[in-house]
Amino acid sequence: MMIAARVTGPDRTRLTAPEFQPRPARRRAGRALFIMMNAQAGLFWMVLGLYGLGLFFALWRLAGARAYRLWPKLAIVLPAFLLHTGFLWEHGLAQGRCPVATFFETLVFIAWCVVALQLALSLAFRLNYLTVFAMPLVLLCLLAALAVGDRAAARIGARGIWLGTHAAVDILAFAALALSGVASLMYLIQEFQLRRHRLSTSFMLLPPMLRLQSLATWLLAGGFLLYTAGLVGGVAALVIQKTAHTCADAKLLWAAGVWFYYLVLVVGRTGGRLSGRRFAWLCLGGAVFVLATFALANAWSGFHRFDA
Amino acid sequence: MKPAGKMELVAMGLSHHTAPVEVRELFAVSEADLGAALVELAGDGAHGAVLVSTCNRVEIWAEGEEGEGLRAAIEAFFRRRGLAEAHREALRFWRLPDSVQRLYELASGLDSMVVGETEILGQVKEAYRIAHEAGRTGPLLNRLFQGAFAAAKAVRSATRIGRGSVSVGSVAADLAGQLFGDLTTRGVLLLGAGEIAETAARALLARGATRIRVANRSAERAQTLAAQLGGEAVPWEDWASACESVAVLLACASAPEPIVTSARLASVLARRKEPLFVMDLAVPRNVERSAGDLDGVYLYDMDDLQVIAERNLAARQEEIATCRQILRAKVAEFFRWMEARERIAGGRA
Repeated sequence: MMIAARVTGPDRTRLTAPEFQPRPARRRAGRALFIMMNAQAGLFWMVLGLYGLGLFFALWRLAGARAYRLWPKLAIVLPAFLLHTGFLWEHGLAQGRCPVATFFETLVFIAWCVVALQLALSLAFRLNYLTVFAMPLVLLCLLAALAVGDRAAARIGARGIWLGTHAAVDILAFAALALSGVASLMYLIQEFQLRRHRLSTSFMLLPPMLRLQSLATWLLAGGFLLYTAGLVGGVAALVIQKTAHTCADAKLLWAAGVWFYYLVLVVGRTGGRLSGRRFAWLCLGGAVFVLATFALANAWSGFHRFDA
Repeated sequence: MKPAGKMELVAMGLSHHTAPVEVRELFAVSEADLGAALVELAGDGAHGAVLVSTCNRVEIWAEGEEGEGLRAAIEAFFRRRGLAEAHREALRFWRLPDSVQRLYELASGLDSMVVGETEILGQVKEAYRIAHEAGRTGPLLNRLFQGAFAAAKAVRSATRIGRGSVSVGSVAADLAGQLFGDLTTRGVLLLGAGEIAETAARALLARGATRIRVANRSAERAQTLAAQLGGEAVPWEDWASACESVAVLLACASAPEPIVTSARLASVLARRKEPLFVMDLAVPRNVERSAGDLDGVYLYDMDDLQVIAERNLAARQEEIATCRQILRAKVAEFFRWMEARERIAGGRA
């Protein structure tokens, strides 16, 4: 009923009226945009499909307790990653800005950062099975992006170099923190098996526990530094662009809380006051909290909403 | 070495499946005597032969003209070494295609006492090398053994026949490796200096562990074992302080009561940052069971490790059918080569 009312209502008629008698230049631009949008949608679905295939293949290897080597993994995930990069590039060109302004773009960019990081880690440290645990997060982000939809209007208001940098650096930080949670999850699974003497057939295929722990520590430290830099950029943007805000804003409080949580975690870990298991639980908890409440913090913010 | 009629490949021998050690040792041929044994076989009428003699088997693959001559030649070889009527049942004989299948299975570790072990492949390779260098292998044997090595490799990479350790010491070393990753910078403390301690320590050394410390009630025995393992002896009463700087504690001392109590281990853990992998291989146990509940301690006793070893062995045995399927394809490949060879030889004639 709502759709019918929209189509037949006076607003809709007024909005679509120019399309019935378009000027040639506008028609060409419209067609180009239509083709581009379809190409982007195609790219998006291909990326989603290939990541899904990558996850399925990795799970199949793990379930069969078979070695998951780098080249078969790269054969699936690398093309997907390149297409993903192409999608973001095209999207950025179409919008004429860095594609980190809408919730859709943020989710797609987080997924891109997670894949980039886990590919780099796989190449550097032969952590191929990280894919099994990181890819569900990537797919979740992309599916959430699909559910949210690409609404250009739903973006955070005035953009500038400071805001763009703040957003991009913070998203990269979230990806690093999320991956530290993923590495911690892998550690906890093995820790549980080793402690309870319930070793699964795939136990010996996963990376050694202390390597995972040190990976989680490095990702946490790197993510924390990036997050700090991103927050500095955000504060600079607020001051330089003279954005109206209040210090009791939900997003600012959330960001400060998250920063403080990770500061305690970094200090606790480097000071040796956190055992391996506790550190892993806190890393995982932090990553889950950040990813689960990120959208809520934005929604409740006065100046940091995606539809502001 | 000039074949006249149609060539045949046969295999004959005895193994741990058919003969007890008293019989096997009668026919065992040392590496130094292999050359002479091959000359002997050639004298009996075999155009070429490879003799595989290990602690679990003495088996011969020979090529020669089709007929009973080849079998008689190998039997003569065994008779000269004391083959009696009582042993005849232990002796097995394989003609084509079983002789090919037999070697492929042997090289792949399917016939070994510990299924899937790799030592046998090395022994078969060595036996072939000696025969080949002595000029005692013909074209059939050359192709057969090269095929067997390739088949063993294919089986190993396509199945889980070689996965998972099947001895207690190796399982313990695997678990420590999975916990710490690189063992080269990690220390190991042996509590006790018996045979079990030595075996387990050697498994850890094989995986890269370098700093071995030995604490034993008899300081002399501790020093001897430490010297053998390239480590150092520590006084028995200092085991707790030595434990602060190692990653693996291997307890296998003879004691009626637990030596490593939860309280003692908790005080050790308070002074270290990394987890501690504790293997209690002693009976009665050296480590209090509740020590395994401490945060940062992973405690495994003999039974825990034995269960894992048995499970790994069972998993290997489940793979045998898949391995045989792969080997059948490899055997068929060998026969295609043989047929092509015979066609060419027939064309020339």
